[in-house]
Amino acid sequence: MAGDLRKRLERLRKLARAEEDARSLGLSRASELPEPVPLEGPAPASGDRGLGRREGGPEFLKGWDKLGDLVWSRSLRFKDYLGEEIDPLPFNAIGRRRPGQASGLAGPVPTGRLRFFDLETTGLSGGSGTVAFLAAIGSREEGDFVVRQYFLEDYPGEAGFVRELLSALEGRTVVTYNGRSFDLPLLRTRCVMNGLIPPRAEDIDCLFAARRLWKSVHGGASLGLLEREVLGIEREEDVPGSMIPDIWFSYIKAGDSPLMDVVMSHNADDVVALARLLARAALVFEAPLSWLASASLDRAGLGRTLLALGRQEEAEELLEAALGDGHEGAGLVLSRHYRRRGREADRRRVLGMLPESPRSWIERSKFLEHVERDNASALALAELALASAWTRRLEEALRLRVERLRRKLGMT
Amino acid sequence: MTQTSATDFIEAFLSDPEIAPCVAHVERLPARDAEWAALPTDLDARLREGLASRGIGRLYSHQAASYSMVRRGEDLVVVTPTASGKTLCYNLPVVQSLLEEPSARALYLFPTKALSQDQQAELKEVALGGALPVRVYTYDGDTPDSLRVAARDTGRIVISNPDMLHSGVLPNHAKWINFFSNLRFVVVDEMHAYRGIFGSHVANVLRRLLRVAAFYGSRPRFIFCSATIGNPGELATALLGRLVSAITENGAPRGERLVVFYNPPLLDPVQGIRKSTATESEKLAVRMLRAGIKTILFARSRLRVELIASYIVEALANRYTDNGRIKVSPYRGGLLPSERRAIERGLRDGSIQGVVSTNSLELGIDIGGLDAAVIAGFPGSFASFWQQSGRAGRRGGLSLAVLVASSAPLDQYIIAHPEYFFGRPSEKARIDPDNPYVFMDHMKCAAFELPFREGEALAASASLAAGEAEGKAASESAEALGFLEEEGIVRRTGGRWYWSAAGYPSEKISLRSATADNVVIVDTTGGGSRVIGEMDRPSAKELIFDNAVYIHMGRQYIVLKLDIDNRSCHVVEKDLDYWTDAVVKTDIEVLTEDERGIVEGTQFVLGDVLVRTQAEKFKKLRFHSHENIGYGEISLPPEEMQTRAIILLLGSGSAGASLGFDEAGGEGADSAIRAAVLSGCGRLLHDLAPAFLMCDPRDLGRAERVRDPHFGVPAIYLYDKYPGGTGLSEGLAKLLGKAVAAARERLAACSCSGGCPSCIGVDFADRASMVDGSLVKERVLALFGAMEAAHGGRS
Repeated sequence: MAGDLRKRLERLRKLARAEEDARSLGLSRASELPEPVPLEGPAPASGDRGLGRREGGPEFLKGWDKLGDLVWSRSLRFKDYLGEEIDPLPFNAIGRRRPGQASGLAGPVPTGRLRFFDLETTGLSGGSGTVAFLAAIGSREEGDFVVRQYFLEDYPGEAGFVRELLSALEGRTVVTYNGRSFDLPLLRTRCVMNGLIPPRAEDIDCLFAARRLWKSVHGGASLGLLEREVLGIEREEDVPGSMIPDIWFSYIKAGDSPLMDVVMSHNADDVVALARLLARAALVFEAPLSWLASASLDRAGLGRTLLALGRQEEAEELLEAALGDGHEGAGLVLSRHYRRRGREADRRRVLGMLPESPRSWIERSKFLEHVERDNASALALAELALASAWTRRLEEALRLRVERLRRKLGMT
Repeated sequence: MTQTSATDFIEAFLSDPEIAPCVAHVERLPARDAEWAALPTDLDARLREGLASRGIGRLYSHQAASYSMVRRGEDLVVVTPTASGKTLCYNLPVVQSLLEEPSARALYLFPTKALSQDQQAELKEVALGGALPVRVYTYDGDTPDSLRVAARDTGRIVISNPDMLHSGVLPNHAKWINFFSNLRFVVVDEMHAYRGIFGSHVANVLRRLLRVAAFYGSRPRFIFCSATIGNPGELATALLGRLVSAITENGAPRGERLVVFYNPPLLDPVQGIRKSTATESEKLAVRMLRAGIKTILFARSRLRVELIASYIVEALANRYTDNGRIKVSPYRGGLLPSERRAIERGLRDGSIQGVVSTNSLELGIDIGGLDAAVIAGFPGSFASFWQQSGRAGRRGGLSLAVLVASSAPLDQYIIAHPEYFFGRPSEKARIDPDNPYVFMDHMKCAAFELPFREGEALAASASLAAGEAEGKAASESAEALGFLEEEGIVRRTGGRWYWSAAGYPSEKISLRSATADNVVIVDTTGGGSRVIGEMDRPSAKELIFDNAVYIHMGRQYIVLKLDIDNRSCHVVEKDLDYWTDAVVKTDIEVLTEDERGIVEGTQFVLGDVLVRTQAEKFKKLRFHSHENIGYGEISLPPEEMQTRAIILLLGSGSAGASLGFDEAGGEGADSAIRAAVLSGCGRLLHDLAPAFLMCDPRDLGRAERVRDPHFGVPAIYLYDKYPGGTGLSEGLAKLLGKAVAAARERLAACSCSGGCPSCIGVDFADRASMVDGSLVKERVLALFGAMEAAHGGRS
């Protein structure tokens, strides 16, 4: 192409800036470029940015050991809340299975084999250009819960950084929070990018169990939220996850970043919280009926999990209790459960307890049609539900149901 | 239609006293016999059987030629007109190779999702419906998560589109390690669709694909398929960045086809006013539909599609109020995918007999055989014309295609030169992969995908000698990376450039337009809020401004509020008897003069310009009569764009003299005439250039300056309408001589007395009623004569 690329680029940049300025007067949009991180805490002494890096690293790397080129590590000790063994089944019976993974863990796992794992990365959407720069791996050691952290100081050290993680995780059972969707695929991508063989480790992702147990009660299931609401831990100092990438970018570009030490404790705190949450959930799964009268967890969610595990009696008890307190979802799960077992009398009782709602109308309509053979009543309820269908797909299904019932009644 | 009924209808049609006088030309394209070749001797027995079960015992010559070239390991492009059995050109050699090498993979790229769905069905047939160990997966935005993993891990052939490759596959290439490590073939179908800005983007996506494949140690071979264009080899080479050889001979048989040039009656020869293309096309289509002929009508724009479809439905409704046996549907971009799928289904199963379409249907979506095609106005390129007319009679037999000429100079030129039309295709598809906007976008994506090594280039340009090209590519890549480093989004360290921003660059980059941001059109009728379409920002400013009429699926909406900042446009349904058309004002500033050509007295300059456009007011035009019934104001910020332009300087020598230009500047009346002459000249060149450039007239902008503030002489600007340019200005510089000759010829042949819509236009009549049209016409003719003499030695 004719024309000096450089000069043309300069001009484009000017034009883009002008547009950006014009836009920022109106609606503000997240900039593509990292914003400078706000300074909190002591500002670095002027003049020695970057210098400190060559001389054993910046302030926040005090207490860290250099493992290799651009890779650092430290160990922190915490109180241990874990028992001797953990049953992985309640955690893995539900939720997303890792692609290509066999059914996974069978029997109880000694907690000494567990490696609690969390990554801090340069982005949340994954992809080959998203890099992990900080990792925490927690494990039980001599009566303590020890968190070993690894820090990548700059891109060229990545292969060494990833190798450290692999050797720490290899052959263990990796415990994560949303790791099946995020941390583990990302680790695999980093392996491929660095010509390393991705780890073959069994894993437990706590997110799915945590969601079922606590999400509806606390209005969310982020680790931070559950740490506060379920475990009662308040962090002294923390950063929002969305800021973390820019804190590292700011470090690699400017040589120091005053919030990096907060990111580092955030990362360690996350695996500590993860271990305690796993312990708490395990406790629930061991003796679920202790929560029979409790409002601090979702008994319907717990019941569903137990159903999936084949622990039918405990499940029914919890679901019935929840239904007794007016929990619609529990009633619907029970109704379907009783239908599969052919326990129509129980199903009739459960449906009688359901509050009036489109979902219960649909369930009752099915029961009336297929069990009671009362097509007219079934049609009335199906029509009621159709009028308030909340998705296109549901509307379609209900329309078919209504049409079929009308045909059965000779109404077409 | 059956042979006899078709012949009868066509005979009656052509001899109809209402139609016959308007028929300017009938070209009978005779049926052609097939040229056969034997099945390749090394073909796997299972494939051989599969072909036999479909009644195929031999190949067309071009299919056999592609087979042997692919098997020799060459990159190639096959020219495949509609219904010439193109899929076997790539399916046979690819499936054969996949059978021989159990780990090998292939990627098929189609420009649209709909096409890939068709293709998967076709491939299942070749692959014997799963009897062969060749798993085929479609991987696009609609693929559910559960199938994605299987597609990546076990898909031997993955069917996708460039957009998905760009934003879904390449940025996540590590998940595709098995696929990329074994990638042997890339098939690029409908290659002619990859021109202009889209082609420039796709060339860069292919550069990224090659780079990622190389990371995993593979170097796939490429098979391109294209409709008939003037430069298939050149376009494929430009897209791939390495030399691609072309197979242009086609061995497929062809049914008899009648191409009719229909020129709407001239209402006023002196003013050059013809009956409207839209109403004439509607009339012809209605006649065909009523004779039971399945008909497709192609119109130039979304708006025209909606207008003509509603005219046809109206015309039919009068006669068929009681039975809706004839169903006609509009089909265009901007409809939701589900709406489009429903129409395609209707065409295939026969529940829809007629369709009015933009060129969205010209690509090879299988809609079943239609009997006739009515093309309302020359579609801007010969390739498009042949694709569109090929929609009629895909299953062989006699078919009819009618081109209804508009009064545009290009249409009138073509309709008078059938020999040019039916001769060798001369138009060339152009792309500019080095458009700085496009190139920078893909440098970002490439840096995200893999860090750049010191001295590494995204790709070498194939137009230069090998050594030189590599050096140039490396230095351009380095410059781009330096630029990105200053922006803080890549980091240079340890001999590499690393992506160092939190974003996901391909998410923000659209391959289909120069600007990624689209305005969402929301129907708020009755207090609701339903998304009914979207439009790119620059178009939105000219089409869906406040109080504009927006037509969607035959319904009229009025724009309540176009909110550019929030990229939304609120409309409500409203019945109106008019539509709206924006009046756009254009300013141009010259940024660089990169190349000057001087031939005798006439100069041209190639360079970068800043184009500022602003829609200031709009006209309200009544339906059917298209009469102007009022104006409205538009208050929107101007749109700015940097692009490439060719600037003709007509100040000196014989051209300047014939323009009556003197350095001192003339007085009143003379300068009005000069303005009219210059604008007539610019208009005609602009309107005829697409005959040579393979672009839409709307891809080119134009402006004329009697005394250009930058050059100080009369100047005509023709510029690329996409930011950064797509090679049109450079292409035009080479073809200027031809364009000038065609313009002079068109003007000389025009029957009007002093300018009409078919030549230099009548704009000047608005501005200064003093100007004598016949004098203007005479002067423009003289100016072209002078320019032609000046450019005689070029091109």
